Amino acid sequence: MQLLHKVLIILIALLTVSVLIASVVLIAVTASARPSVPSSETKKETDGQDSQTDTKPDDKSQSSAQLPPSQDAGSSYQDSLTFFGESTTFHMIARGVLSGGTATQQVIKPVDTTITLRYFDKDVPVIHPVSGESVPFSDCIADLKPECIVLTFGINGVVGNSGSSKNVFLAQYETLIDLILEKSPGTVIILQDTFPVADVPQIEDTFGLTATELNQKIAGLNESVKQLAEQKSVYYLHTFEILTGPDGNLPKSYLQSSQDGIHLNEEAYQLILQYIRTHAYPST
Amino acid sequence: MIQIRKATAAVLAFLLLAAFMLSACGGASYRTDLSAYQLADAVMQDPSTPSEDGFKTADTRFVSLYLGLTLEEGSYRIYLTNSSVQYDEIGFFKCADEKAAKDLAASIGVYLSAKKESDIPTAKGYAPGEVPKLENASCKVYGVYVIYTVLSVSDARAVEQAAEQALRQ
Repeated sequence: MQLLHKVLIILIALLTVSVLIASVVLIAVTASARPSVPSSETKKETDGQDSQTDTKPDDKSQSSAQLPPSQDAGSSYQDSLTFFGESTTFHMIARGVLSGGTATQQVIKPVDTTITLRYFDKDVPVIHPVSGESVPFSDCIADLKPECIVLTFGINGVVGNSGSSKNVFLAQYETLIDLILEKSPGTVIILQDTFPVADVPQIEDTFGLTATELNQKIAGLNESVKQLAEQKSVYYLHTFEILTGPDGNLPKSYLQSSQDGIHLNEEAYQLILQYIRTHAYPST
Repeated sequence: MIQIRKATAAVLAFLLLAAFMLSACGGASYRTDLSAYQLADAVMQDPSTPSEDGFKTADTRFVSLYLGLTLEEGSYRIYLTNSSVQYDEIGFFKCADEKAAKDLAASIGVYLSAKKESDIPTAKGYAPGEVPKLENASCKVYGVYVIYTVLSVSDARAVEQAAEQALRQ
């Protein structure tokens, strides 16, 4: 009887230890199988897009907002975009690179000579791209309700935007994003990089910096814009990467004027549009 | 006797001159009874200064975001140009005391430096006529009052003179 009792105790002890070991193994296996991708990235996944094979696994600059490479989304995608920004944006009208050529209805142009985000407010007068009338920006967006708007700001006031006035620039950008979402909640927003500048003498005359120094500042500014896009859950286009040559500057062959260093020709805009089509936002 | 009188006259003249120079070293004396709004009205309604029609007034967001300050409502009035390719600005502030005014002027100096850094390159490209306004941007203290301007040389001078007239005791 005593022997049977001892055997029973030993069996129960062995069973208990086995269950404990099995539990530990099960927990370890489950933890290793759980995906490590943050949940904010999953809403950007889509069928038909290339996987992130172009992105190094340890690329710290990649973000959830940045639009990865995709198949060329074609002219219908390009035609669905509205553009708003500084002269490097509304010069697309004069270059005739969008549908409708110089009469395109895809660009919101400021009434004044240019627009600087530092001084943006909801009532800044713009030319409605369809009616051609001068209207406050907020009314334009409310009426237009664009499917997707590509915003490009930064070069006007770039030294301050990337330095002493960065907080103002980012706060104003946030105000613009919030205004668009308020007036047109369904609009997809893409923040595009500020484009690089070319190494021409006028750059140093204008900015007091070499082109290389200025492009470094622009790269830093673009990094801030990417972070803003993540924060606001909007998309970000890293167009800067296809506009820089081996020296880190904009190739002079992309300039509209050889003296300017900033404004682009048709060839450059075609390259940008191709980049936009091949980094399309996922359709829902 | 005549020599003694001449000497006495010379000594008295010297003493008067010394007294005058010493009183001049004490600096201008300014009023403290006007509110910032009253000062702004007095200057902007002077016929020699820029018309208010070309300006809008800045709100608390401008003060906190651009100037980096937290100020009591009523202690300032800032005029900003209505145009997106001009840079005219005039700011009027009343502080609690002269030390606070000097501290505020230092903060506004930082703001004006940042504004120049941001805006001069853009102005060179799009509105070269505006560059002198930015380069001429300045901030002055009048006792407990501070006024800054981003204006042409002539407009800035007109504002300065109107302010002196309104504030000088």
